[in-house]
Amino acid sequence: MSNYTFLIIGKNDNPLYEKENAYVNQYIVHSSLDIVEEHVWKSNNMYLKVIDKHNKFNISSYVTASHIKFMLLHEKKDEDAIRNFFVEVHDLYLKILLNPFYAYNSPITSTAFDNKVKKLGTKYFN
Amino acid sequence: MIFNIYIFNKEGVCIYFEEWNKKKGSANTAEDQKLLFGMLYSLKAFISTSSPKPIDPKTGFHCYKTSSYKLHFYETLSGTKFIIMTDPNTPDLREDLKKIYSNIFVEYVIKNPVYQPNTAIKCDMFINHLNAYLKQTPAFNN
Amino acid sequence: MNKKYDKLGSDVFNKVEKINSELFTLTYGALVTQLIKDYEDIEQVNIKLEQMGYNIGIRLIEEFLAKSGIGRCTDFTETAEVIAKVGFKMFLGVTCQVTDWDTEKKEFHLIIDDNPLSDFVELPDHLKHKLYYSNILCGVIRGALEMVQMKVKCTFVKCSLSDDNTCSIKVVLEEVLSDLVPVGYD
Repeated sequence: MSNYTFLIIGKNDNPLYEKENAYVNQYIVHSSLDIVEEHVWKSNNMYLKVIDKHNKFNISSYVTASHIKFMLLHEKKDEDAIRNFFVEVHDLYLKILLNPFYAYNSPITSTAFDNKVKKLGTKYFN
Repeated sequence: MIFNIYIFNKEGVCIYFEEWNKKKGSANTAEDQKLLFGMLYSLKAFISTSSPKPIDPKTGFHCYKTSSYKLHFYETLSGTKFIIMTDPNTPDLREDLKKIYSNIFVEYVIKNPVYQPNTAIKCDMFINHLNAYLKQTPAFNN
Repeated sequence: MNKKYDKLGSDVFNKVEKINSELFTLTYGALVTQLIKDYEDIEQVNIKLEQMGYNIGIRLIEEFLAKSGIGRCTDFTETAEVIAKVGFKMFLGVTCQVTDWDTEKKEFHLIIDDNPLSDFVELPDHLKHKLYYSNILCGVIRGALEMVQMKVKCTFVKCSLSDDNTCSIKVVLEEVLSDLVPVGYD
């Protein structure tokens, strides 16, 4: 399942970060944002599992307490791997928040973050 | 019996004075403070030149005694000087002066963000703790 | 000599009160970013940080002397060791290395491997090599040493945040001040 697209979406549905692989289109992910909103209020968990499907693609979501949405578009359904991926990205995201030069809800430009997310992608989805 | 305490900063300005068990002849005009500081300065200079082996006058000078009073002296490496005058029979108060420095002066004066370094100490916390500490020492009333 | 101060450093560190390191790091971060907003000119921010450090240093030295019980240093090399092994350990929980002495022993570099002030911090590109994020440390060292009769100049030579990977502060001894002579005394 090396084909995946990962996005971080801000509080006002503004994109903060994208990790896009070929073949899959991030606009599909954006179209699922409304569904995330519905699920958020039904669940106590941050990990919302698969919330939407487009043809052969699944869309999983994870929403932090401060309403930042992690969206993952993927083919295979491997819940554990996805959960772990989200949790580790959440950790990385928290570190970004601790950077005094990063403003909440602004695009994430850190290359260190980018590289680490890439590594996590390879670790869990290859 | 403790008569009074002086604290001088390194510029020689008296930043604190208080007296107890008041006796005739206690001196605390600006002129007296200057004289005291000047006397200590000369004494320290004399101590280091007259010593048979090398001595750091900051730590080497502890006290002097006259027939009517004893002066206890403690100077920190940062140049703040603590002086207590007592009756001549009082034992060494050096340890007490050190405690006043590290447990009361540093805690309630230096760490007080409102206190401007090198100005007269008016912090109530300091004054209260200093009084409480000195009054419980055996030397205070004897 | 090194071992003695390593031990003293960790003894004092165990004795002093601790606060949450993230709270500390975030507080400092908020302070620096606010200064940048207020001053815009980055050189001004560096200067302000240094001045704040100086004001901290002249107080911190008293706490340092009181808690560490350390005596007078015999020479500047000893002073450097005390700063690196006891001073940094006591207040920041880390030690640093003293390197690059000049021949007259009046100038050295402090290498800080793990600077707690800059945990989590990533400088935006336009601030790299301009902002000395931890410049407050230079001020603290200058202020503290001035109180013990040493006039020094302290500058950042490398900052780990500007992709040099090391954090290095140069300390130059300019003058050993003598005790002040009382006014009107000769």
